[in-house]
Amino acid sequence: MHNSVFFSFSRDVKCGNILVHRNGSVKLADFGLAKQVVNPKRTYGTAADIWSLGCTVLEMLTRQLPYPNLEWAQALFKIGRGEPPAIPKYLSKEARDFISQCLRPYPDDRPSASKLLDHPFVNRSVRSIMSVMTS
Amino acid sequence: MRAGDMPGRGARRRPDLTLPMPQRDAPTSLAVPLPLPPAATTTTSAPPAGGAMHPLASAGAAPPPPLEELERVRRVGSGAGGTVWMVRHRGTGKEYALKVLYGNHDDAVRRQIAREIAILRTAEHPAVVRCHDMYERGGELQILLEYMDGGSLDGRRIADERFLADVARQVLSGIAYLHRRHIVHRDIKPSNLLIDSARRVKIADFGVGRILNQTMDPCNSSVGTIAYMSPERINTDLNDGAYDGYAGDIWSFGLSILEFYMGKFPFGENLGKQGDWAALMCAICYSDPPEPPAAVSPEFRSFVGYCLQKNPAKRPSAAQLMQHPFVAGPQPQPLAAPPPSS
Repeated sequence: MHNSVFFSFSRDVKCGNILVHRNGSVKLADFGLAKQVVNPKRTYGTAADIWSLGCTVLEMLTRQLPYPNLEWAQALFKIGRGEPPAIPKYLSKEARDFISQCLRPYPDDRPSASKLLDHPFVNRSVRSIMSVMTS
Repeated sequence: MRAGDMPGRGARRRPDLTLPMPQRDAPTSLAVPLPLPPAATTTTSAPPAGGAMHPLASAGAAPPPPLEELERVRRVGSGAGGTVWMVRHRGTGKEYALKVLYGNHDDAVRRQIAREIAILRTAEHPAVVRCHDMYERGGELQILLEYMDGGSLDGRRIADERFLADVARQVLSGIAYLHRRHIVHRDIKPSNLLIDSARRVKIADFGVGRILNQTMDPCNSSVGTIAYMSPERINTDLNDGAYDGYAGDIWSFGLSILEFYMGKFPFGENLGKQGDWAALMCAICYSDPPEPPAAVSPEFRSFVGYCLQKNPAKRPSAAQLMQHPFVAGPQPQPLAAPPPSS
């Protein structure tokens, strides 16, 4: 139940929509780095939800949007060039690692939701919740 | 005149004591709709003659009409964030544009818009669309603007350099005015340049457009919003992230003028219209600035070249560009032959 809450994001969520749109600009990375024409057949996959998850976790922990000092067009450009948002060092090591895995520019490099369940950031949290519930 | 006033100061003080109340009352009531009441008061007190009332009376135009007296005649456009109606004042028959903003904005945004409108109402320039008033009904914001019967220049082609120079001169003088007043437009593009039947060109949709852009969901932002952004505005690596809004406006202006001449978006017809903002951003930030075709006059080529300097530090200000031969000098003769089709 609690796990599903963590991962119940979809492209219909308003915040998710914004972030998915930003993730769509990863096509810019293909265009910008390879100087190739953008592949019009490329569509969002499940990896887009992982990106949205990373951005949303980052936003919840920092209480501000990713790329906080940039205008939205500038943020899109950064994403497109494969520059993930800065992750503050005051976050725990586990949180930083979790977010950075979600925010890899290339979708194939991002872990699946199943794999992320084993990450200490969420795995330990789940165990803590369960221990609280049992006590 | 001042020298003449010197010896009579003592004597005139006594008559002034009897005059202040009636003179100050009248200009005060007239000054309410005036943008600069202190200057008006000063002007009134200087000449004691009653003739001073005439300029004030004429300057004190009728206050903006109440919303209830405006009749919606027809819808003239739907832009980013709002719908625009042509309305007619029932009492005077005068025509205005009424922009109805979309959606319910939160209190902070509404206050920000109200502050912006207060500034815009003080903007008076022949090349700037006049903002008359703002109304709020049931949480809906409506802005009363000057009506331009020719509509926007979006999609128009102006291949005649003489006419194009006239358009450029008017828009540039409007930009120079806004910049002198420390107002950055941030969204200069063909659809925000309006024209009337007398060929007057005016800048529209500043201030409020900027606020709405900030609060707008990026997913709903049109590619047209990005298309006229300067490279350093999009790519923060350029210019070390320091963005100069005035220089950004010059780029947007230059790109718009070039588009009028070419009849298509200068970076490529497809890029400006279709939804691929990724490719559009790449074109703006990585490719060379677009150039006019070979057949144009040297003045026009030079003018566009200055506006589309990739380095914002090398882009002239609006006031400097007003001195450029393309807009300041004698108008070039129309080309004998049409430009070659590429």
